[in-house]
Amino acid sequence: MTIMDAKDVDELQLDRYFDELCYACRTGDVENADRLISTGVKINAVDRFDNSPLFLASLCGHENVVKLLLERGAICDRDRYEGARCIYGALTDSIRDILLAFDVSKAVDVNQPFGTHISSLLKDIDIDQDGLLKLTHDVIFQFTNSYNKDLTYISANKFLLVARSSFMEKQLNGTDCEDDNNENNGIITLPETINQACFEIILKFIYLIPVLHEINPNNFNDLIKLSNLFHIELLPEFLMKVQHMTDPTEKSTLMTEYQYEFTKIARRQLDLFVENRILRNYLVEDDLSEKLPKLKRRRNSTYSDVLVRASRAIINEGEEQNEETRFYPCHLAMLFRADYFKLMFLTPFQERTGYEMNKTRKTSNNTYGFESLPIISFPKVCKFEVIEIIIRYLYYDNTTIPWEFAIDILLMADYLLSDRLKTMAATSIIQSGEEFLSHYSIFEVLYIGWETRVEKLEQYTAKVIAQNIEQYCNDDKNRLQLKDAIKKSSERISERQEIDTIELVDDIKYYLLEKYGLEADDVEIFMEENDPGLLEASGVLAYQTDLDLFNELLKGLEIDV
Amino acid sequence: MSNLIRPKIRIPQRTLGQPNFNFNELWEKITYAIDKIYERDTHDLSFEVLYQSVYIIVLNRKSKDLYDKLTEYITLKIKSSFQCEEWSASSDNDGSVFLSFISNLWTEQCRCFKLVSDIMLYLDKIYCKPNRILSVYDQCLELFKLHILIPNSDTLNRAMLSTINSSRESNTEVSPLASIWSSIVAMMQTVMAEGKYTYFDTYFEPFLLKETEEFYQNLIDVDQFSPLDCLEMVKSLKESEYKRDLTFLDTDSTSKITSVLEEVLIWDKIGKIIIVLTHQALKNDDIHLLQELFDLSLDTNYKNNVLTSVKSYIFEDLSAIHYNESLRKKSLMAISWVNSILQKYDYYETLLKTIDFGITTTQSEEENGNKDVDPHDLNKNILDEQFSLYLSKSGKQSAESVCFYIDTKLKSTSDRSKISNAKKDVDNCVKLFKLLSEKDIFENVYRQQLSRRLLHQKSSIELERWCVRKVKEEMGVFFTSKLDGMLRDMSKSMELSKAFAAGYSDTLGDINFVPQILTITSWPFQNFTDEELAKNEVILPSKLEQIKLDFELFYQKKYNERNLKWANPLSLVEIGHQFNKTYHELSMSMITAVIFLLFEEHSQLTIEMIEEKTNITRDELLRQLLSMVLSPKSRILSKKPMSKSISSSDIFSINESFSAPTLKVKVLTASAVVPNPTGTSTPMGTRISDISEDSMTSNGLSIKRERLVQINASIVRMLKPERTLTRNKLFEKVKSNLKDRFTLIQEDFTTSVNDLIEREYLQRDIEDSSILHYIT
Repeated sequence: MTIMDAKDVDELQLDRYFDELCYACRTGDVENADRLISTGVKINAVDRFDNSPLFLASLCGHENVVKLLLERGAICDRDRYEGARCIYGALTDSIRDILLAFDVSKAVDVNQPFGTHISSLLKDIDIDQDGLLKLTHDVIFQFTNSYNKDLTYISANKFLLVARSSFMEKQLNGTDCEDDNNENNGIITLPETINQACFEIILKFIYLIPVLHEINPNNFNDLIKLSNLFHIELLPEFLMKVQHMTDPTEKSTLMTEYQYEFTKIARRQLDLFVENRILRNYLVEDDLSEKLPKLKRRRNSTYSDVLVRASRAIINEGEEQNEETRFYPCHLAMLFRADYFKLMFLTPFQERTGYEMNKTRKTSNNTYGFESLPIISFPKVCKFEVIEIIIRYLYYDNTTIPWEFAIDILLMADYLLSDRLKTMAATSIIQSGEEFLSHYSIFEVLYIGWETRVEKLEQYTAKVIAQNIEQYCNDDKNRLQLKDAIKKSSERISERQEIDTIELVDDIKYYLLEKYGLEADDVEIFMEENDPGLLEASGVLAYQTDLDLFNELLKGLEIDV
Repeated sequence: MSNLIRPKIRIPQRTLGQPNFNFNELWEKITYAIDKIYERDTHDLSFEVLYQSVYIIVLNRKSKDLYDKLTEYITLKIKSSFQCEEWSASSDNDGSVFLSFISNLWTEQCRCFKLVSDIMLYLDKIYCKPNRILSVYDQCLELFKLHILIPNSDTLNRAMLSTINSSRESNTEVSPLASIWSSIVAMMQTVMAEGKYTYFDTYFEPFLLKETEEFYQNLIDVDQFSPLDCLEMVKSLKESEYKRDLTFLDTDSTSKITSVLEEVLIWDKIGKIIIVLTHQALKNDDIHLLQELFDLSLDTNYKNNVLTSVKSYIFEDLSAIHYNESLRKKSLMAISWVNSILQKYDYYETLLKTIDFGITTTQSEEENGNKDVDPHDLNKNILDEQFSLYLSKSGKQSAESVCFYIDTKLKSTSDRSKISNAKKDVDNCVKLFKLLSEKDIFENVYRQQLSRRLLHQKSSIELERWCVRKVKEEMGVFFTSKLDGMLRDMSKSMELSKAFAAGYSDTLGDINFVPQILTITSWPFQNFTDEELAKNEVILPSKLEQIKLDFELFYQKKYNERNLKWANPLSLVEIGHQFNKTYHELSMSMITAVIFLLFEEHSQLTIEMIEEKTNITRDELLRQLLSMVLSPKSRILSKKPMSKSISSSDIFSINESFSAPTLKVKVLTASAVVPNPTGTSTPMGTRISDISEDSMTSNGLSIKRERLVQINASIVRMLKPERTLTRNKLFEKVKSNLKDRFTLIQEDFTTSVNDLIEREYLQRDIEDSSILHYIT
């Protein structure tokens, strides 16, 4: 397969995601929309009826989806056809107001969650009280002010520079080699020819901080040169275009378009970085052995500052158990997107001390191997893939969760205190539908939903049961399991006393009505009706059959419904 | 590498609970960690391990056990930390040791609580939050409160108070204990008591406020010190307390203490001596003291107190001005009185100008509803209020005196160089106009005096115009319409006079004829009825009669619709006569002149002859002759025989031996048989010659009449839209409606109401006589 072909496959996949996104926008499925946007679909594209996702969401009145789309960069420009259409098509005044407030004339400050996080690594350094951000920085740029010889310093994360700029990668590689004999650890002195303001903009750009609107026109030329030097994709092109624009609306439209492209590029770069430098570059225990001669040690070209350990048991044919362990070279700066890791390094425990010690050791001993890096263990899981999915998510919001790993991801997300990832995993379970259920029972979904407090899964369970009520009431095994589940659901009531009905039963009854497109009032009306043809056509009869079946099952339970 | 050797924990895979789950084992790990945290030895603790322990316990549905055990264990920890620390009550005289102990304990405990709660995050999230129970950290704080704060709350409060009070006693603003206080206060504000109130709100602040009040209440005894010393003490106490409070309290509590201080020190203590102090300040022109007094508190009531004191002082000072009755002339009394008032006014105006009474809501401001009052205007309001009060106390007299003052000033302008002086004086006096309560009296008197000045050309007409304009500026157009009318008449007359003189120079001869055509409604001569005028009809000397006829003809030609009447009593004649020794220009009333001119042709005449030739009534004639014969300064006639009374047999002739020091002589007409004792130079007709007694009563009458008309009008205007009002309400409305003109009194109101009822404008309610109806 040629590279072109690969791209086409990629595009095809994105097209499918886009259609799914349009569907989610019609139905108001915020979680799914979030997941799909994270795949990198063109949020401002249109479907074959010329409808943009934003237009669909506002037309169908899904305020939350509208908000999400806008936050993630959907354009609503009153001066353009698509934008105006959204505003006129908005179902409610409230949606219209949201759209107007997001009019494109506002500063382009839309970012993906991973982008926001990366920005904060540089931007929030001064408001970070625990010094954690600063601690993750491992390179310092030094500027000499030609006027007063004052030195100014800017610190940054090497891995990000490497991921985002091939030029920087070469530079850092160079300094590493020199560093073996050099005392200037981690400090790079920039030549005076480099304009500090321009360098700062490039750096901000690398950190995905929206800088496009704050570029001083006087710096355009310097900046174009510098971004060419740094091999910053597309930025020179944008600068050349915007340089000659005067109309502010035109300008901001251009900015939004390019900002979208820039985010896309960043995602691709991080994707490559994660795949090549972290996931494929994992270490095994032997790599870390202290006995290894210095020359055989692997170079830390990932600039990783923490190793994530994952191990799984390999059960051989005999009774003997073996363990396979992998160490992924990661970066604390990205890991602490999950609250768990953040807390781990905020408390003055072993982890923090170890990390700090390594930092100081690094600068004194000039060791750039992996041996001394602190290790974080994930709770033991069977699949390395799960760890890899989590790493992808943390680094660049990749939310592609194959159903096979969805439950593991769900549990891990709960452990890591990452609610968004949890929602993504749950959505993946629901999305995969039949395929998932052919491997797992619906009750497992229910219990895991309870376990991880994802209400969506409980509702999904009820819906599935309602759709297949006959199967669950008649099949013995299923029947037992359903009874068990209802009992458990009723036990949950005692925990939350303010609700005095069994949630699962209520939900199933609700989805039974929905199944036949009925409402509670309708049923009462039809009770008076005698015309069998009408009853048949309305679906009430089928509904009654289902309901009777379900009620029969409930009767067998010794609980008060 | 210790990092490599770590316990390996499986997370459950789609199974609830773990088969080899051992709560105690995990709990032990946690208690070990808590011990280490308390020992400040956390470097070997693994967050990963602890978090996972909690995670597993929660997964195995032992959240409640964990929470309860934790509560128990932390309680133990808190209690033991309180006991094991060393502090004994005996060595702690003022409680400062205890405070620093508690403060340190708090800081240390908080550090531990934070770390414990960090480990317990999963419990917080999965157990505490959904079950709506206190998070681990808050629970720890609660335990700290239960086992440390509540049992020691009294000791703590006392220790705080005694250290604060000793700092107060030694007058230290920044106590060395400030940081400890501050930390204790922060602790109290962190720990919650009941509801949304903190420990600080519930247990400490009320205590502190009460004790602060007591402390300061007992600190100073006002009677033992001079008021000024008291003030100084209060100031410095307040200042240092404020600074001290800021070192350990938030602004909210500081301001609460400040208001306690204001209550105790300023309201209570200074309140007793505020009048003394204010008066003292004003007496000594001590602006700074006054300003200080005012700025002492932000309390509006207090500030109003100060203002009231200032006002009362000004009023008292004004009341000390005596209307000096001992002076010979009424005008002199008026001038001296007005002068002293103006002096006071200027004095206080300059004094108050330098004072900033802030933007407090004084009454006048509230009434205006105007928030942007210039502070100087405010001060001026204070001043005006008091002056107005004083002026209205002497009501009528004030109005008259001001008029006299102006009259005198304007009259002394024969010399043009004096005009600017007069202007200055009048200008200075103008501000009193609007402060007068009886403005209608002012207008009335002013009109009379103006008429006199105009008719007798006592003042420059330009100056009069200027002055009327000033009055207009202060009191409005309505007030001066008649005055304007008078001035207009004067200039019109001037033109006519010129025109007449040009056309009739033959008739005039050497007589300088000055016609003054007065519009009757503008001038203050009510009793010029036709009858009255007829009574004063006299036979004029032929020359004058000719002029009169010619002028009538002339006037008729010009304005044939108008009716011209001659007001002899108002006319003035000047005659030059060479007496034996000296030449004099005699100015006299028309009647007097008619008599005097008879002697041009006759050297001697009897009363009867005069009567026959002039047609003057006998009474009037007697009066005139008496003045001419007996008035010591203007005895231009002599009579035979010489006696004090006049009989019909007397023979009159010109007193050629008359002589006077001045060229001009005014021949006065006595008002009665007895010569005029006042001797004011008022050479006019009887009616107006004597403003002092006679005419004032008539003025009084006319004012009463005018007022009645105005009250009637006002009552009708007020009642008409309402239809029905109670008497009192109506009175208030009418009073406020008329307040720019005069002060309405009940008596006048009653008269007016009765008058209106009689004329069937109003009607009393049949059942309740205090209700009035308007009859349509």
